[in-house]
Amino acid sequence: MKNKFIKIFCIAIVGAITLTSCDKGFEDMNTNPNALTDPAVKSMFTLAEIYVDGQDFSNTRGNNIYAAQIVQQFSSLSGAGSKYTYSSEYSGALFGESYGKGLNQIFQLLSVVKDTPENSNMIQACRIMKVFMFQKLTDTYGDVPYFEAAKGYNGNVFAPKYDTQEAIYNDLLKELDEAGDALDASKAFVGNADLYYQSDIPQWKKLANSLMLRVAMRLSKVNPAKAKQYVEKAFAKGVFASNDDSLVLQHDAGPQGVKTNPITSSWVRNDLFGGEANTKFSKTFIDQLKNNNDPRLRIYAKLEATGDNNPANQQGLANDAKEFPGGDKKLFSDPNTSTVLRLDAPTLIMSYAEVEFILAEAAVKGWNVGASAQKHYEDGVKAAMQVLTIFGDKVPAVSLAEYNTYMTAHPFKATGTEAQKIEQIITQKWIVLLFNGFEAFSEYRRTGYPVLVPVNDPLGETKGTIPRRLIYDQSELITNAVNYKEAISRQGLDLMTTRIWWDKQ
Amino acid sequence: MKRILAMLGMVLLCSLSAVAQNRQITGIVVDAENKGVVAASIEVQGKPYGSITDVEGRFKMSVPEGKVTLNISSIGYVTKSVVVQENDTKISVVLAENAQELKDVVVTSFGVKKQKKALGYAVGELKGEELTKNKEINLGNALQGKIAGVNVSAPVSGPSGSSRVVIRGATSASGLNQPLYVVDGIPIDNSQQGNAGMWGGADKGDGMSSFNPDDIASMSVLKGSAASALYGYRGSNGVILITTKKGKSGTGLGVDFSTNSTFNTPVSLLNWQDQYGAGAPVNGVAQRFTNLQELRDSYYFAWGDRYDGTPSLALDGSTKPYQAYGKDNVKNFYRTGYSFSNTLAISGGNETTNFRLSFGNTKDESIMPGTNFGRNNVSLSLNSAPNKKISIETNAQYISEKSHNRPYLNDSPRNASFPTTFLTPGTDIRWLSNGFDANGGEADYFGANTYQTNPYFATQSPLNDDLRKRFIGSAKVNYNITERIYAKAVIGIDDINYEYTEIEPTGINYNPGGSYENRVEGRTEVNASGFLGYKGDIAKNLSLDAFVGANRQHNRYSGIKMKGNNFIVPFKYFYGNTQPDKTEKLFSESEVNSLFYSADLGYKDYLYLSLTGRQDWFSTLDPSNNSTFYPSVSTSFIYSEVIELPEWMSYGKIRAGWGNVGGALPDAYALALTYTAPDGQTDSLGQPILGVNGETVPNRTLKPYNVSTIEFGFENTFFRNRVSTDLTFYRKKTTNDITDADISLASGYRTTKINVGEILNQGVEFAINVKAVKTPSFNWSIGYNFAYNDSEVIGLSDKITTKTLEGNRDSRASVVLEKGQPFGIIKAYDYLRDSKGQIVLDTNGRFMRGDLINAGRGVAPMAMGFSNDFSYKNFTLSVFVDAKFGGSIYSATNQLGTRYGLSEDTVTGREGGIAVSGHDVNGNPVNTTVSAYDYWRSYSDVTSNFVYDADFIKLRAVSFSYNFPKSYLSKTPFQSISLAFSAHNLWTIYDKVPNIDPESNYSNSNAQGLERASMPLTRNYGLTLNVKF
Repeated sequence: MKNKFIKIFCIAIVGAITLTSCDKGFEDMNTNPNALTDPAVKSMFTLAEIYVDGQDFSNTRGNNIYAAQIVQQFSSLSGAGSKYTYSSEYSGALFGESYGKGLNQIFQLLSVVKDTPENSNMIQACRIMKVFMFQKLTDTYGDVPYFEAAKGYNGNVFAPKYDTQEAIYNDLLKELDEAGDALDASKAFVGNADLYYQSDIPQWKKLANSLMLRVAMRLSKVNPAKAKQYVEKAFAKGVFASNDDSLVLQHDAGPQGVKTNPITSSWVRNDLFGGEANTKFSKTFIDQLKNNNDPRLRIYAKLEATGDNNPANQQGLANDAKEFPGGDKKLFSDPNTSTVLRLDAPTLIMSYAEVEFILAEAAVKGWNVGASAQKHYEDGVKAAMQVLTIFGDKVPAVSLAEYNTYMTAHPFKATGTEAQKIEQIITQKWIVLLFNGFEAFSEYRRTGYPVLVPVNDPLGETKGTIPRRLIYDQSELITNAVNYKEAISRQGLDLMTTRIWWDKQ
Repeated sequence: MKRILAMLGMVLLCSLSAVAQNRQITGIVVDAENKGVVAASIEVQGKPYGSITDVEGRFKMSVPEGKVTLNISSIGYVTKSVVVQENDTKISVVLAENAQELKDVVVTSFGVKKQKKALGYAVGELKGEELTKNKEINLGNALQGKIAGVNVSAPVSGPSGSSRVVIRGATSASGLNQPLYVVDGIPIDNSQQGNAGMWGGADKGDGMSSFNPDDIASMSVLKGSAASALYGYRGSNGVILITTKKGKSGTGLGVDFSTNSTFNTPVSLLNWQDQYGAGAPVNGVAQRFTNLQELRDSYYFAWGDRYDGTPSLALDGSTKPYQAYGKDNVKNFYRTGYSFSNTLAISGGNETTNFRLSFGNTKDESIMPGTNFGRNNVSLSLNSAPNKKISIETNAQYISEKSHNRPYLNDSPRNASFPTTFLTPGTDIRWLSNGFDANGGEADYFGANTYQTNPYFATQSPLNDDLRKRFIGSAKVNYNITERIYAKAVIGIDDINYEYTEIEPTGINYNPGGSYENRVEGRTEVNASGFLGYKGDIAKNLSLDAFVGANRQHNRYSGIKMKGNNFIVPFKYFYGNTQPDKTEKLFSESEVNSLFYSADLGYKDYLYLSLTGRQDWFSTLDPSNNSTFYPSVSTSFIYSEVIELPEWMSYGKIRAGWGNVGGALPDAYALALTYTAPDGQTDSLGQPILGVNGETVPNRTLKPYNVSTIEFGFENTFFRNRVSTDLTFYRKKTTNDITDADISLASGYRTTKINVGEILNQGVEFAINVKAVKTPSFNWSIGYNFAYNDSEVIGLSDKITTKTLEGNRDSRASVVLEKGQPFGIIKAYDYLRDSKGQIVLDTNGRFMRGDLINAGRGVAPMAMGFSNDFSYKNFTLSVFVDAKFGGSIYSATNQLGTRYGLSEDTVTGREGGIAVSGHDVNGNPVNTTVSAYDYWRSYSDVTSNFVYDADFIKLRAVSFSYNFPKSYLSKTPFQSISLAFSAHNLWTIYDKVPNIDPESNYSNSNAQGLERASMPLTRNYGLTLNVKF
């Protein structure tokens, strides 16, 4: 009798406990049924491509407020980049966003596909995309975490070491060389999930080599021999040959965010709707185009008040201005909202024109890049004018006749000094790098062109000299103090005036 | 649900039909002082008949025909046998007190009843009548000041809001720090549904607001780790055990009806200046507006011209004498609130089965116009012990709660209290009372201040609604295998259905298109456990009460959140009428399995040792690292049994306990990285996109944090138990607290959660109860409790020394955790000072903002309660005073009031300025006259000036009741009638904070000590009628 009760009791307990548990096992229960734990790698790749050129955050703070104002493409009354003042949240924006978005996405994707030979082309493409981001980071700050970076999840490295810029550059060149070679047109890629080239492998190879030009030429001051070696190597492997090769990322018109043009997104948010940024075209940039009757001005600029894009009426804001001359900010030029400043305006991540300008400079230096400096220069200027058709047809495109007129009026100074030639080339590059202030800033530091009149503002941190870098994100002092301090002791104080490795005096 | 209720109803009817057989006897059991002995048990010797006495010591039972012997027993009394003759129908029994034994039996972990003397740790107790005496609608709030070491505070959001109950100080930087609630042995959900934060919001209530205090028989508070160790990973913040009321066997049918009406009146504490009007000075000259738009832009900014009674433009656009109209704005805007609650309970039983069925209904109209709350409770308890072997206990509660327009707090959008607080004195708030413009949108009285909402528009528009339906049920089967060995199975469920709607109405000035958000969710916790126990002597003088058991806890949460913007047809508030913005699925599921044991050894009724252990396995942790063991040991020694004590000392006990418990179990799915559409966008140019989810590195090694408490206690009674005292010392240390640590951005992430924090709480608790006067007609008893808790944040992580819990909305003060400081320090700005600590002025003589300093702690370390109960014949008077000391509050009301020229202080210097002398940053003397505008505005930048000592002493509650004499009732169907008048917050005896109540926190989060534009204090007057049939 007693035993029977115990039995019934035990059955009841077991029954009750079983009732409360569901089909899933104790350990399986911790798999989130409403999120993906095995990602769709193609979709991750697409997002990585979008992240490569940065999002709204780094483009507003890093480009529009700092880099593009330092090189006097843009200007604003109290802009940190115009006045060389220090703003911790703006200065560190590129640092946090690059690692947190693009690089983390790329490295996570690499960790997922690393042992899958069928994804070989995707892996090579990721290596190339990674170079874009790391070069921008190290060019902006100097030594940065590289070999241990973006390993928070895969490796639990919460405080990665800073690597020297030299080591980073060596690896960037190696990565481009290897990845370009490893790309294999006979293997599968991702189809239309590749927003850059729709999985056209030869195009990707050209991209790797063209980017190698950009990386290699940056060493022209610090290690001319290596610069020459890799520029010639890249050229020999095959680089962009027409505007069809340019790396252009298209954007959607909305909703505003991940997939809209990041320059436009921030401008729309901060400026056009009455925010405080009040960013305008710089007087330096407008005057350069206006004074030279540059046909691109009508496509780039318009007045905020009227939308008037007549080049004669365009007016830039001087970078040292403390108030709007005349008092009305609406009489100054903004990027044209029917062409370049649309939410779905494409981003020109790397242009054929830039490649030609690099080759022109190489030719000036006497390196073996196929054609004369003049030929490369003229092809570059022509390409820089014609590529603007990517911004639509709301404003008439630059005609061949207009190009010819311009080139006749401003011919390549084939008989000038090397310095004059390089000034001419880099000034043209500075124009085509509009909206990529980071690259223009690097090229300015490497070459000293275009010639800019520094601003000497009492609040400035550089004693009236143009900054040589941006200051690291200050959270690093707390979260990565040891490695940060090591980098500073190696590289020099964390100031805007400290020169980075390749920026040799 | 309906089916369950129907089945329970049927069971009930069957059991009722079994009542009444044989012959009836009635009787009364009293003590030596002729007072009724409550809950004495009466058994017929050798026969399965029994009963229990009611609160007056009366009982009614059926007994077999013929002569019978009754055994009458009650804890604390010597058991007595009485012979009842064949013809006796009424008996009277006097029980002698058992001096050997304290009367109390307390409920401990898993509902196990233990003799209080055997406990090696502190347990706080509260009887049901303590909870209902003053008619608090919210059960959490009813605990305030009642138990030493239980610190209760409530956001200023009214009775449907949440309460913050913290026992012996907060244990975690990131956890909730609130105790586990267990109702009739079943852990229940006390999730905070939403809180006002830095950016405002409404207090959406917590789990405790569901309960009807009239259904509560008693509450036990397990304060320390030794007491709560059997709850393992859930024990870190103590446990509150709630026992609901049960029926009584053998009492026939009884009906209790209780009705209460309470009026809640707003008490305005604002004392703004009434001499100066709106506007900022221009070139040092005070202004008087002639342009309505400009006046409206400055509606809160009282730095204008002095009132002189001449006709001037008023905020409503009319021309009126220029003078103060706003003195009574608070009174004129808020209304007298009203609560109405009723409970009807039917109870009864026969020898083997008893039941209690109650219906409760509460309706509350807040002092905030348009805000109301309603609650219905159905509660059923059904217990049966068909024979000596088996007993079954079941409890079921069904609760529905409905709230409309919970008030928005802190930040200004939709917050009616914001403009009500800050209107310039020249405006009578009633001028704004047509809150709607011609199109039905918000009337524009505040010009450019679009984020400040017209209070009449806010309170007359739909802003939010919530509905919670909840079923809490439990069933227990106890089977006595032998006389000493028993087995028990328990299953319990807490099943919550919750729906919340939040609306920005059409035409609200800051978002005229409006928005709509709807969240529907279900939250279920099921616990199933089994016990095998032994109770009896194992050797001479050595008793053992022990059990082993297992528990499986299963939690499931599933919901959906929908948001849409811009109502397509204005004023029609439903999701389908919006442009959909975002839909989100909410889901989690987890399980915890546990094995545990408990062993209590007793030697000769004066030396006790208790050991417990619990091993928990968590589904949310890494399988290789998913288990933790939680032990405890405690001992009690009643030395008065061993040592000869002086006659005035009746009882003496010392106790000691140590236990180790856990808290803040990591959430489900936090181990592995997941992927999701970035910002809710699923494609770009037609291609799907997918990104890494979140900025926190999943930490596979994360575990619950650990709390261990060691405590010592001394319990004594004196003068034949007329005076009793309880003194406790404890030291509670948190280790492995879960810290949200910031990591290098170059890692690809921003934070990770790591087990590194350490927090120490140590303190003392003291309680004394005195039966000061004890005569047949007059009694006076005094209770006093005191607690002091000193907390220290020992460490957060090796990399961070400060962690902000929450910033003030104006970024002028914050509540932080800082290494070496008490938990929750208020940081505010000091004056700019030179190296000698002297205040530095700017060259114009204004103050400048200096360093952030520690300006106080947000939680008072010292709290006390003082109660006096008098009874004279049928009258009873209770007076309850409580107090807190040592805490501080940052009052943004006062800071903004000063900045806006509303504070009375700011009248100083309006004419002719204020002479200042000092020196500037370079040490140059500054001797000048500063305008009041510059002076007070620069003073308001120094926000430490607005961190006040939040000390208070309050006459919290007074109640006066009258029991109608039995003689009046003998010819009526009523057994008893009582009428009680009670009042709350009658008098703040002592406080130092101007313009606001010192208890004006807007949230119940860990960030205590922040106030901003709070709702006024309420004073309550209530009348309660209790009738028994």
